[in-house]
Amino acid sequence: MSSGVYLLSTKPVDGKSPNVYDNPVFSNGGNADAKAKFSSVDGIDLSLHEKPPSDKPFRGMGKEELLRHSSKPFWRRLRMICISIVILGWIALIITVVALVLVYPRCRRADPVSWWQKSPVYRVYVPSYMDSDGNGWGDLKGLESKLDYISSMGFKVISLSPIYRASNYDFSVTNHTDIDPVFGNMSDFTSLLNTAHSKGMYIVLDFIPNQTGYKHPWFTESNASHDKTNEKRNYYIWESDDSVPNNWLSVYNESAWEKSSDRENFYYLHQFLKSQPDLNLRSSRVQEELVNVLKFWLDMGVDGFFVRQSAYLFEDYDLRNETIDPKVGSSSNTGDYNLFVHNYTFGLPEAKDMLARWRSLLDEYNGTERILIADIKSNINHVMRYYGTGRDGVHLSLNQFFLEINTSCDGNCISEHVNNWMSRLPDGKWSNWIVGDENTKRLTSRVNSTSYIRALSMLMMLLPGTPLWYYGDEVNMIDNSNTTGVESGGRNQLMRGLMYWNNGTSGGFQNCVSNSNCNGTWISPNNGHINNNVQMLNESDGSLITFLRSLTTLRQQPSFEHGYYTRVHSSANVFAFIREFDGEKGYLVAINFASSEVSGDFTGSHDTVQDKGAVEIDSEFIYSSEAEVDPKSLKLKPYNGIVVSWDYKAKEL
Amino acid sequence: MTENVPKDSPNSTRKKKENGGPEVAIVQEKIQMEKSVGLIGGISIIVGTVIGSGIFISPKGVLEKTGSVGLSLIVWTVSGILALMGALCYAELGTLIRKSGGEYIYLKTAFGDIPAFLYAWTSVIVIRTSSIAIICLTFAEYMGTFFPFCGPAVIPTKLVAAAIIVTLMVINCASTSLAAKTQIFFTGAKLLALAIIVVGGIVRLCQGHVTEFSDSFNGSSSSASSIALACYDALWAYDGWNNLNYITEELQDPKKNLPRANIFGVLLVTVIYVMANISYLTAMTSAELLTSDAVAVTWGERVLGVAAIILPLAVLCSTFGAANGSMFTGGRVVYAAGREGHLPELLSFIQCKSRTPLPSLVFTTIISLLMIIPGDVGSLVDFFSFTAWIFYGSTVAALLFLRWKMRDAERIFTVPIFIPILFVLIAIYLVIGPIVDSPKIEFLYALIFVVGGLVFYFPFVYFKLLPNCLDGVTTFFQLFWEIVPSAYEPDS
Repeated sequence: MSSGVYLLSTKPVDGKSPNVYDNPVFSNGGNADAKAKFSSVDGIDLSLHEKPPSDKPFRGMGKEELLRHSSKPFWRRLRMICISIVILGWIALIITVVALVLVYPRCRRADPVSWWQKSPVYRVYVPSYMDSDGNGWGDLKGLESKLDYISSMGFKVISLSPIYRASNYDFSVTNHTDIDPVFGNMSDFTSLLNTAHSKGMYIVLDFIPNQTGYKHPWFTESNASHDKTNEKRNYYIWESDDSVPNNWLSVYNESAWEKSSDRENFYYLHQFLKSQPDLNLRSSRVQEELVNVLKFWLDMGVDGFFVRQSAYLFEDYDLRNETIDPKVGSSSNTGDYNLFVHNYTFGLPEAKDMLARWRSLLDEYNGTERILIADIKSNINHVMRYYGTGRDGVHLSLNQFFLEINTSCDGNCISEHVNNWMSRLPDGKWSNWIVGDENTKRLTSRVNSTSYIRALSMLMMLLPGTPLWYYGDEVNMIDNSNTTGVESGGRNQLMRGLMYWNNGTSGGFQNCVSNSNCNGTWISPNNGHINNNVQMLNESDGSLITFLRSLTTLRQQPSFEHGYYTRVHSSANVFAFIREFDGEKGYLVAINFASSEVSGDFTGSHDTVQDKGAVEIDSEFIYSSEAEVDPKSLKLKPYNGIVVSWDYKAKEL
Repeated sequence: MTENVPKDSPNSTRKKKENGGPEVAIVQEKIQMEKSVGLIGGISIIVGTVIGSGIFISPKGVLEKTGSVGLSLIVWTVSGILALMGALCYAELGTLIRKSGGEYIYLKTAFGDIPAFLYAWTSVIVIRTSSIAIICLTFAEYMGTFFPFCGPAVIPTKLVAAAIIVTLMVINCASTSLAAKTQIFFTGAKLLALAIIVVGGIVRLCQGHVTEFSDSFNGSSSSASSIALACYDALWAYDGWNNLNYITEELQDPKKNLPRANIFGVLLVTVIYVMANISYLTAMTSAELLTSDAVAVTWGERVLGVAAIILPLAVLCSTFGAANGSMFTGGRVVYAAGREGHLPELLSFIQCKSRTPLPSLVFTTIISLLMIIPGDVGSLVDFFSFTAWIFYGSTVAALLFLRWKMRDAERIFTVPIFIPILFVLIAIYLVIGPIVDSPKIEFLYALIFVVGGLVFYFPFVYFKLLPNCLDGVTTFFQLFWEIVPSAYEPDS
């Protein structure tokens, strides 16, 4: 390698002529600064004369000069100290990094979430859904042909209305282990079940333990048993008496007691229709029969049961008279069911024990988790008791309070509804939300604002818990008129209209092209299907179906699936909450339940909210999807819900 | 070797005799940086800094904007050719003006002090230092993915990045040849990983995994602006082809090695980029490539099976190598500008024992460390990236100007005149394009910052209004660090 020689030393040979100094470094072209100070020989001359060069270091000194000075102990020590500091600092940095890596917060592990928590439930009233054979009744084959539609909306769990062999009424079961011929046969059912499972879907059946139809063989035998040793004699609640045993009323406002046609002086109890005698669940034989029914369906692969009328399962053992509710007052009409306090016929603690036993039966079954759902129309504390503690309650004790909601329910009202439920929900239990079922006026007829319906859907889909969606609400189905069954417990009721598949005859409910002779439908179609039907709305932007699809998709995000819930804002207008989880995107769901526009900060200065957010869903389609917004400043149209997301920011130590 | 003093050296003390002064007996050793970078080292620096982590993690911008596999491969190739044109022009400049400092020294020679100062100012304060900071942060972020942190672990990431920067500083201060060896080692590691990907891709092509290449122009974007944006993305992947010009003086036989390393380095990178993209597409669909967060790792899992574990390591090696290359060359602009009096002269001194530019490395390190502290360096770079093309364009324009200004100078390497002209036009487009595409006020701020360098230029450089205590500071650091001035020595 080449190297040059520079005269950088100012040390003259004879010690007298320092002005021989030449420093080519500083005469290097371009270095104006250096030139100014060093190219003038005089300048150097002066400074070097005054300060003998061998004693003092100077700026720009060369290697020889430098080493002579820098090798002095002071500089050596200073350098050593400095190098030590750098090395120690470097080591400290590495140690800090390692230590931080070890102690840095890990994400809390999410509780595992089961299938019935992941997917919303689609409730089908089977007779009205799809008729495959033209007999006028919706059937299992028809339902099977629509699984893809249901799945495409994000519903993977289907809850079927009763399909057991029965006489006239859903609850008048005559054979718990067979399918009613109007809906198909057992092979139709296995086919439905297998197809659903192959599509990753789940089937939940209704279970009716409280009563049977009076034509059920159990009742026939029980009713006819004069022989006290007959084991079916006590399958039902019999009381021997001269007149009605007590003042209990059926829910249809008649005496709950009916005299046996066969067993002399015996009355049987029916909390519902005369034709639906109540089973005696205190009988171990009845309990065993019911367990066998459950096992029959469990062996077949059914994924769970919705226990119907579970609050009516037990009655007072001593058949004590019920008293008039002082809050209702007037004693004039003693034939009114609502007049009495039903503490001896409704919601007895034994019912919960019964559910606990069924729960343990389901838990013992291998394979997928099987679930129990129970409905109880009572006060909220009573509803919550059904959840039990640990594993002795049902998975979902239905939250029927949202069924009351209509457009007059503003932000405060919604907030109260949600908060009443969430604050009482026992620890570790899973919530649920329902806005329509087969005993309540249709959502569209009740609410009558598509914006409000979208807002409500957003609420129920994004709150923690499983939403249960009633078929037809997604196509804005309206109430049927000319219904007959409301008072008598029959099937033909206003909220059970035929599904709106297309705008053809009976809304596409029957496939009459392949079935040349179609029978009349069991319930008369209403004309809502002409403007709203699946064919029209399934792919259309801005339809409720499309909107539900976006909600069920968003619902699969970890923060919604198992994240925390924090209510952050409630006012007369807006109800807002945050869903978030460690290491996952956070979401603000802000919904305006008032009919006026409102804007502002609805985050309640929640500390994890970031300044930059992206709109995930706008129920009024004003913000475009992914639009960048400040989560702390949103504008909400009337009945407008907006979901804004932001990236997770780790909490620093 | 430094003792081997040519007696008739023009810098020898003997010429002083003519002044009648006494003969100087002590001849001072001339301190220069070592010429420790050979052809392999030079190629390593280019390949090692150009190929960072992008090709391993998310080579998707181009595919996304072109819309089709065929067009994306064309864009990769065309961008490689553009980078090659730049590298050729720089080879001519580097062999004509054989001084370290890259754009700085060429701008100074052609256009004078002000453009050169503004370049040094922008480069030293923002571009080079932020790029070191970002590469180290990328390294740290990637390393963070091996640990189950909850969300992005900001503080550990920054500390790891800081540790890497300090480590690189120590390596580069210890010895230039150690730094060059480090560079060769890590570049070798990354090329090995890329060779595995390329060979794996060829094997899979032969096995018939070619579905992604049938009808490969289907879906091509027909919009000129999106193809231009794709080119822009691809050119960023090639950014760094100019790195060798920063260290011309440390290159052995720069007349031969600079052009060779520039040409061969860029060609190698182009081939690797195209082949790696093809290889990825033999193992995944283009849709999968677009959604993958770790393309090479996905590829490895599908093609290599259990051996896929080498790929995350290769990503770390590649990123570390790129950081080392940036540190190696990044300090040299500071060094060159210090030597020319545009920055404190102290910054141009070199350590007299290890012969490394210690002050400029420490200075670069400190600014890089400061860059790590604020929240988001990435956005800073987004708004300064267009200024890089201002300087590339100006530098190649300087080449054209020097053809006239230094028309008599010996040119070892000359590019056809159309190449620099075309390159300047493309550079103009690349500066204006993104601003027109999405005009943002931050671009203006960036421009104001560049021009704002004049606030320092006039008092401190032009009028030399410097406080006297600087002498003391310089002397102190000279003694403390044992650093001495270094001169530019034209090689014969």
